[in-house]
Amino acid sequence: MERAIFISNIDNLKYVDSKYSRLYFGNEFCQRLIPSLEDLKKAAEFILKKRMDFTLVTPYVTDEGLEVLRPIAEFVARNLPEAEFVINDWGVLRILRKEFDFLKFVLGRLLTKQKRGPRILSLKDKIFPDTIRHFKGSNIDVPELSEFLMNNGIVRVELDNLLQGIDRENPSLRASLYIPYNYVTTTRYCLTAGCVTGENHLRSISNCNKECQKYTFRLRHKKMPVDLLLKGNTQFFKNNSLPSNLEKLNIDRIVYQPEIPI
Amino acid sequence: MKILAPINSLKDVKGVIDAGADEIFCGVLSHDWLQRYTNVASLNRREWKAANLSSFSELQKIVEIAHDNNILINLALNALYTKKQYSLIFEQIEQFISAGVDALIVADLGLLLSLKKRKIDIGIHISTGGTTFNSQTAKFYEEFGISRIILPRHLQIQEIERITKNCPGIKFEAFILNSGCKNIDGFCTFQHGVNEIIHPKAWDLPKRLNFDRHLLNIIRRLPPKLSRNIKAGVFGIDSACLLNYDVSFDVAANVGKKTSKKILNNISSNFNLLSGVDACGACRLSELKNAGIYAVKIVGRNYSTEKKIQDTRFIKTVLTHIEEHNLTRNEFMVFTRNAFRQVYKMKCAHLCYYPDGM
Repeated sequence: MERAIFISNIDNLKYVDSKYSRLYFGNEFCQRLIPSLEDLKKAAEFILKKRMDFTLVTPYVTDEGLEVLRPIAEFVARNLPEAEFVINDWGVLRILRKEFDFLKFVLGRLLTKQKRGPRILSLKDKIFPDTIRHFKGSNIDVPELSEFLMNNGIVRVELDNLLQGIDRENPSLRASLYIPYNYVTTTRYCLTAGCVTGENHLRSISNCNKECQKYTFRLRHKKMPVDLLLKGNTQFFKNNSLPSNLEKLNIDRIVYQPEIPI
Repeated sequence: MKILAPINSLKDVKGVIDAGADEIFCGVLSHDWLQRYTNVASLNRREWKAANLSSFSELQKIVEIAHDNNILINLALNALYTKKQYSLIFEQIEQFISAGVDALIVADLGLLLSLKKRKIDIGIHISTGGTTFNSQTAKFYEEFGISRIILPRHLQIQEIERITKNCPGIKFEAFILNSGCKNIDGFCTFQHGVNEIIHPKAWDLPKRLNFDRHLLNIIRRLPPKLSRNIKAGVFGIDSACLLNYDVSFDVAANVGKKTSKKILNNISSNFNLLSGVDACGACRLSELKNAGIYAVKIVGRNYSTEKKIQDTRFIKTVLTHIEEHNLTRNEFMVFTRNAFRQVYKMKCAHLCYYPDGM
């Protein structure tokens, strides 16, 4: 079992120790948090020194975000050609495949389409076995999609550790499992931006003062079976218990997040 | 620019067509599907039974009326599916096709690939769930021969324009009215329609009677200071994005007590019922048209026939005004807000679909 560690802030290199053979760096949820070239270089120096493997994590992006990603991708392609790219946007896959077809791509959590909402736990006794099985699954194991992914440079898929468990039937793509933080929902109308000044509005892409780097919130409600964690524009839940059938699920990598990767 | 109106019943069809709809869209939750997967794993992104047709025979009658009036009908098939569901999905698709629908609205790449593999000859619209946030994603879908892309709610008009200009071969659709979800549709994994399973009797009838919309209409008439303090849970509307969460710091914040309280209040204020109030983008229609949008979608399949007709008529009035008058942006906004007040008998609440640049 490969052990990887995922950080989104370069200061969190402090968490990396010899238990891990791969560093994930970047973020999935906000193009404003795409790492700077300077931080990427620090991460690259670090992994070369420690002889670790490297995975760059990229978010979904607008056209403006694509331009921000370009120099980052060029740096990785030039200096770390063995690196993996986690893709959370089909457009990012399209353009990177055209320009750097030698890179290894990984399908990120935003595109692996698991049913993460924790309220499924409240329904377990009220819905049919076929429905429960559906909620444990994902579209990535539909043969037409798996085949397409493999033909388009995707070498693995990233999975969250669902509270209801995971079900994969004859999975052809290798998978990574993220612990302990699992994303549930995300928005461009960031709930945290402007939280200090009160300038946040219900429906706007607010000015950002990187409040997400300072505060994490716990959301509790009797109808939500577990607490949600709000960091920046994304809500997560925590799940520390690993499935017992990792091999059957074709999971051969654990991605540990020491902090919520925002 | 075309107008798409929602329907969930045969009785909606003539009314929205007469009010100015150019196309209609709907979803079906059949008995067969509900028996295996329930409404929470709906065949489309509207998990309430009240938002969907329940039979193919009703769909067929709707298609006949629509086609008699030269109106296209698009069918939502925009959930995300797992392998075991495919045999039933394709059984349902056969029935949609034999009923005569013009296009399927699809979000799942697995389904898109399966439709192509089976060479199913029908228009395919990429749902907002396809998360087309940039031109490259639009081109990615274009390579599958799709005929339209419905853009995410969370794009700004200038971002939309950049996509449309870079992809002249694709028709783009944007949301214009109702259901302004604050989370990104294609990336949100909360279950909806949970109450319909937990409290089936107490939930379905109020939903069919549009209780939730009437409630939201009352809330939007209240002063913002008051309306922002009304939390969803107290009324039984319990979508996870609207629950009145108890908000605390997960990690102690390095700020004073007063600032700390203010921050928690500000975060808490995101989770009010007002954030579920129907958003409107009518006063940006002119800009959306100039940005290259082909069609605008009115959301709200589960709303009453009266509301659907009212919404369609409102958008038609505004679009007609654009075509007949050469107004400045400000003049157009004043016209639209007046039209809003006349149609809905209340002031525009500034709950904008496209708040950028406002």
